[in-house]
Amino acid sequence: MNVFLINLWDRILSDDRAAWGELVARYSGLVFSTAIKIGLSNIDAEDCTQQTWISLYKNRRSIKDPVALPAWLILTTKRHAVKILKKIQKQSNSPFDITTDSNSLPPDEILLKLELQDAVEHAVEQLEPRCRKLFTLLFLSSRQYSYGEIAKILGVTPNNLGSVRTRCLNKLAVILKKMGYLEH
Amino acid sequence: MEPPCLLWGRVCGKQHMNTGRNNRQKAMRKTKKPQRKSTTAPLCKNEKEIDAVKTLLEQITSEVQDRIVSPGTNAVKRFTAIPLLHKNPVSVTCDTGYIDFDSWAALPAVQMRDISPGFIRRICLTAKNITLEIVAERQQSEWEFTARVYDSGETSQEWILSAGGKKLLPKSLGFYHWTSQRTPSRLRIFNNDRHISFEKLKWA
Repeated sequence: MNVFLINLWDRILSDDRAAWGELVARYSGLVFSTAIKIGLSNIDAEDCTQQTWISLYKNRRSIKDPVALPAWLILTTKRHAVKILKKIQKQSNSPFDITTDSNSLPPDEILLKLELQDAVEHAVEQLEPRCRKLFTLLFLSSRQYSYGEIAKILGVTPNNLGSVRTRCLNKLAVILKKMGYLEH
Repeated sequence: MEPPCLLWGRVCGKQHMNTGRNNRQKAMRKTKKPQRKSTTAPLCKNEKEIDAVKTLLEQITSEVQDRIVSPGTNAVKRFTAIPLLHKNPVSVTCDTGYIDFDSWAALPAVQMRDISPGFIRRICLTAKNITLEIVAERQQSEWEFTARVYDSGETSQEWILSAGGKKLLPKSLGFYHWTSQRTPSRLRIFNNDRHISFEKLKWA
């Protein structure tokens, strides 16, 4: 159960503007990345993200399950992005027809994995600096680091790296549990 | 009186007879940890969780190639202002802005060919460090407006523009764009902290 999201949503429903700001700051990356993944330019993706947030604000009272909000955001972004792509296609008279070419859109699975990635990255951000650095180097960096290099960067001996990693994984498990991405 | 070992029956009786071997086995049983792991034990549950976290981390590394990209800070500020489109602001400070430049008031330096001066108007309104620039173009049956807000010369995207009964949020790059059959006489911009009313515009 994502307690953070449930509390935040309660505050939004009681018209707390700071809560809305927190939600926007937390999930704008996910929404924007979804729009980019669907094939929009940076500028169009920004407009699409704005449309998604406006839709959410307008329909906030009808959302029953705030835990499903990330998935809702992804699917709404997808819908808005398709509209924008169709508009671009119409303006440029492009022969490519988005309505018939379903392969051009990423499947929902990939978009939902984007949600998972966003959640894990957010959980890693909440860890103490040493754990954050460790996971960034181990899993989230484009370059592959050896254990020796990571140990050197973190200032621990290679023998101790295993126990540091286990401790950090434990802490990450606690955060992911709170967010509802790991079973209790 | 019955010997206590009889309570354990036949096997126990045998053990009773081989006391030396029995004691050794007992001692071994005491020191040796059980081989089979219980899935309900806290330690194993913890190991399972760690495995699940590792799987999650490996999954996002191997399957999603692109990282999460954030839109610019200006865009995030813009999205944060969305509730102001529907609710009145509770602004802390209120200012009044004035016309700094009006193309209809100034004589054109060079006469523009094909464009009648009455069909396009450029207005610049200011209040301290905030500037609102508007370009109005008269089309066949309506007016087309494009506007932008600057804060100390930099584009500022967190403002809601209120013009002729419409509340507008800027789009990408901070542009407000709208069309209307009427020209707005009163313009206001506001965000969560500040509210600026500009002086009345005359369109005749």
